[in-house]
Parts: sequence; structure tokens; C-alpha cells
Amino acid sequence: MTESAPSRGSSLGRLLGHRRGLVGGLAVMAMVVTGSLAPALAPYSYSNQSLLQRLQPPSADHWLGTDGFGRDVFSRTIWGSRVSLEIGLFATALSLIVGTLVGSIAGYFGGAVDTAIMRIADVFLSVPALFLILIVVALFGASLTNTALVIALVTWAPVARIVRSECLSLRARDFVHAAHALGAGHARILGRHVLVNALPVIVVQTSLLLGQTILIESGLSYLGLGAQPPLPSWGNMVVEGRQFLASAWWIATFPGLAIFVTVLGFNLFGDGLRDVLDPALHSESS
Amino acid sequence: MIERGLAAYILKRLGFAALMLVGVSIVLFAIMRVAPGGPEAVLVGGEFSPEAAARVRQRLGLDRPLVAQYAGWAGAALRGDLGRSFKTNDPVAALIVDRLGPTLQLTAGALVFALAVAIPLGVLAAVRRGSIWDTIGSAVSLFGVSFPSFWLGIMLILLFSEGWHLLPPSGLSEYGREGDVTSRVRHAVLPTLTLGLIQMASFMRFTRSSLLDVLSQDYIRTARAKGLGSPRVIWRHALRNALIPVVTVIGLSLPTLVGGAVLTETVFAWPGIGRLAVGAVFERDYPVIMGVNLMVATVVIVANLLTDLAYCVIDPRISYS
Repeated sequence: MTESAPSRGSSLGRLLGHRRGLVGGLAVMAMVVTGSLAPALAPYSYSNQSLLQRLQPPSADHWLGTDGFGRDVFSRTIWGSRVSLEIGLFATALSLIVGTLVGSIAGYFGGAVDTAIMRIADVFLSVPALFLILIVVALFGASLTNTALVIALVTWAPVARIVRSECLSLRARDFVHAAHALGAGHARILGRHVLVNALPVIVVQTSLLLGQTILIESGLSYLGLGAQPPLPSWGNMVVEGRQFLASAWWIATFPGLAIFVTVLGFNLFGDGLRDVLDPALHSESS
Repeated sequence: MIERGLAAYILKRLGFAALMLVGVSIVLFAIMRVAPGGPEAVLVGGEFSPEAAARVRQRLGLDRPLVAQYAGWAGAALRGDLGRSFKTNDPVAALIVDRLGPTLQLTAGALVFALAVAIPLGVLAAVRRGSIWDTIGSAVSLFGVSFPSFWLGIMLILLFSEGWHLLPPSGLSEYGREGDVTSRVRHAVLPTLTLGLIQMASFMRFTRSSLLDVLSQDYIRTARAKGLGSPRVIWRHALRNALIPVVTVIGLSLPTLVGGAVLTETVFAWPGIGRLAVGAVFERDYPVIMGVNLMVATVVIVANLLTDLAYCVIDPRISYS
């Protein structure tokens, strides 16, 4: 892509000049602000039912219409962003911590440690994630912690793989040898020298992973394994809208659109970050 | 020499695959039995006494020690007996065979559709880099990874079934017309599109980047210097090599394809393995959960092995000796 500004200037400056990254960043920011200010922004309560207002199409009173219980779809979509973002952030954080730790150890030490770790990662990469998530969440219950834990369980392996390959190339660099010669221990070299330099890759992964975890969470909600009613999540709003598809298209359409825009935002932002922070990686993947 | 190396490699991989299946079955077994609650609540229903629950557990063999339960299950599974469903008492193997056909039809159809669109689009995006095709290609790949598949399916139903009344919204065929090919095809269009559109993104991206990579290599320059026309260089020389990494991506995408089928089957009431799994999980039908997941894991592991072997056939430079 040719949208990125000249390589001079700060990363932030370059990100601001990256059109797609900027659009993605703005979408992400809008969603985060919406989620945090939900009580102030939502015009109605997410659980207020009104049988007289059932299945109203979008209007000045109800911008995105009302659902089968007469609840305001716009307010519920705003509240729904909280569930998605909370689980997304929690699961992504867990996945990043495990993936980075395991991947950097594998890449930095190499040899038998590397082989053992990467074989385990291969096992996780070849199990259909949704099946595993389905079993764990259905049997142990769909709490925020359970859902985030199990999403992390199936997303750490790709992170580990990427961090590993980055550390593998970093450990052969001169500054690592220099640190060794100066008597620095493995933990210090890994923490202070290798991981710091692998940070751009990790940051890019964070953004892409956030999008992915939000998609997984919404899929679980769709299957009835996410946030429990009346607490709205985008996934369970789409399910509720499914039965009124013929008469009230807006109920399923808008929450789904919110998922799409948020995930697209994270993906665009991640692509932008990759172009800005890691030109080498970008040229490989583009 | 090469054949012997390959045979040894296949044996090693098969051994590893068997170990993985044992591992998967132990993990699944452990997860199900550690989880709180059990099938008795679902089977007895409503208010039930501890005695009634104990009777159900005894009848299902759930009162035996865990190791004995696992050993019993594994021994039977090795003989091809996956047990009987707690709920319907049907043999699990028969339930799976019943549902396998629709899932294979759906996933194979989605794969073919995704490749049929993604490869030409990826080639166009690479050859006409920076053109409108490249823009369309990157939009397709970005949208593909950002769409919630269940919502995409519902939006297709909204347009093609509710809106324009062109295609049926759910099921395998009309009731009583199971043998009617036209009816089956019409029912398959929307679910196949939904699953295929989501898969298309990664195939498109890999075809593009792989072809760009190959196009910059010396032998392509030589072919061009010899005066060969652009289409001939691309189709005869570049694409054949560019498709090698795409084969790996197809193999790697199988877990997502099968996982995606769970949601797609739920949206379209498609009677496949995915819906069988969802139902079994909610009803705590342990034998069905074990059977379905082992079957899915086997398919994925075997497909990965075949992918690696296909690699060897397509690219003679790779040897496993």
C-alpha cells in the first residue's frame, strides 16, 4: 500500500498519515468510548420493556427501532459493546501473556525447548477451536472469566508462533551477543533486549487478536453461551432478531453491523500499525 | 532412497497422529468429567431426588472410577464402538454417519467456492498490483476476516429468502423432497456462500502474496526475457509455484472451516455434525461429544498429513528423508 507517509517522523505521526489505519483507529476509539460511557450515551435502559412499543421500525424516538419486548435497539447495541470489549480485552491480554512468554522462550533458547513447545502449539492449532470452546463453556458455564480463559486457550498458539520467529531472528543479533559478553543473564537479555525489540510485532498482534476474540465471543453468544439475558451482547441480540427477521429486520441487522465495524476497525488499525511499526513484516505479507 | 525416507516420514507422522488422538480423547474426557453437573439433570428432568440421579448414573456407568470409565470407552472405541447416545440410545457411530454427509457437502462446497473465487482474484490482484482488482482483493480479504459468519448468514437470508424470495432459508431440502437434486442445490446455496465467503479471505491473500513473491524471481525474468507473453509466464511458470503455499493454507484452514460449520449449520438449521455437537454439549450427552470431537480431530489430523504429502508431490525439491 502506498498510503503511509514518508518514514521520517514519529510512529504516531506516520500512523495519523496512514489512511486505513486512521479509519480503523477511529472506529476502535468510537467503540471504546461508547462502551465506557454506555450509561450516559444510551437514551433508554437496556432492559426497559414496553409492549406498546414492540417491533417499532427505526424512527426519531428509537433510532434503530425496538425489539420483540419493546426495548430500544440503539441503547442495547451501545450496552452490548461493553460485553464484547470486556471479554475481548481480557481474553486478548491472557492470550498475549501466555503466547509471548512461551513463544519468546522457545525462540530465544531454541533446541529441545523450542521443539517441545512448538509441538504443543501445533496440537492447539489443529484442534477446531470452536468445538473446544463450545465444550468448555457449555460444561463450566458462560462466565466472563471462563469465556475469556477458553478463548485465550485457543488463541495463544498463533501468537507464540509469531513471537517465536521474531525472537529467533533477534537472538542472533549483535546487541544480544554484546549483552551476553557483558555478563547479562538470560532473563535480563530476554526481557530488556529481545522482547523490547519484538514489541512492534506484539503490538500488531494485539490489535488483530482483539478483533478475533470479539468475533469468537459473538459466535458463542449466538449459540446461547455468552452473556445471559437481559444483559445485552451483540451476539444474543442477533439471535433474538433472527425470529423477527421477516417483520423487523433491524433487530438482527444493527448489532451484527456493530460487531462487523468493531472487528474491521481492529483489523484496519492492526494493518496500519504493521505498516508503520514493522515495514519488513509488511513487505513479506503484502 | 527417497521412497524409503517418505515411508519412514509417513510412519512417524501416523504415530504422532495416533498419539495426538489419544491426547485429545484424554483431555476431552477429563474436561467433561471435571465439569460440574452431569447428564442426570437433563435425563431425569425437572425436580429429581438424589436416589433417582444415582440410579441414572449407575445405569450409564458414571459411578465407576474415572480411569475404568476411560479404559472402557477407549477399548470399545478401538474396536470401532463409540458407545450409545445417553439421550436417544442410538449408536454414536450411526449418529455421526447420518450427519457426516451434510457437513461434508457443506464444507467441500464452501472450499470449492472459496478457491474458485479467491485464486483468480488473488492472481488479478498480484498481476495488476495497485489496480482496482488489488483494491477489491484487499477489501474482500479484510471483510472476510471481519464478518461474524452467523450474521452474514442471517443477512443473506434477509435478502434472498425474506426479501426477494429467491432461495429457501433453512434445511437440507423441502420435506418429502429429499431426493430432489434441484431442491437440495437451492437449499445449499446460502449456507455454502456464507461459509465460503469467510474462508475466501485467507486464500485470496496467500495467492496474491505468494504470486508476487514468485513473480520477482529470476526464472520469471528469464521467461519474460525469452519473449514469452505475460499470460503464458503467469499461468505456466509462476502460478504453479505460487500455489504451493496455498495448499498449506488450505490444510491449515480446515479447523476453521469445520469450526465455522458449527455456526453456519446452526443459522441454516443444516442437519450436520456441528448441530449434533451443539445439541450433545447442551444435553451433556458424553458419548456423542467424545465421538464427534474425535471424528473431527481425526479428519483434521489426516487432512494435515495429506497436505504435507501433497506438498511433496507438487514440489519435488521437498524431501522428507
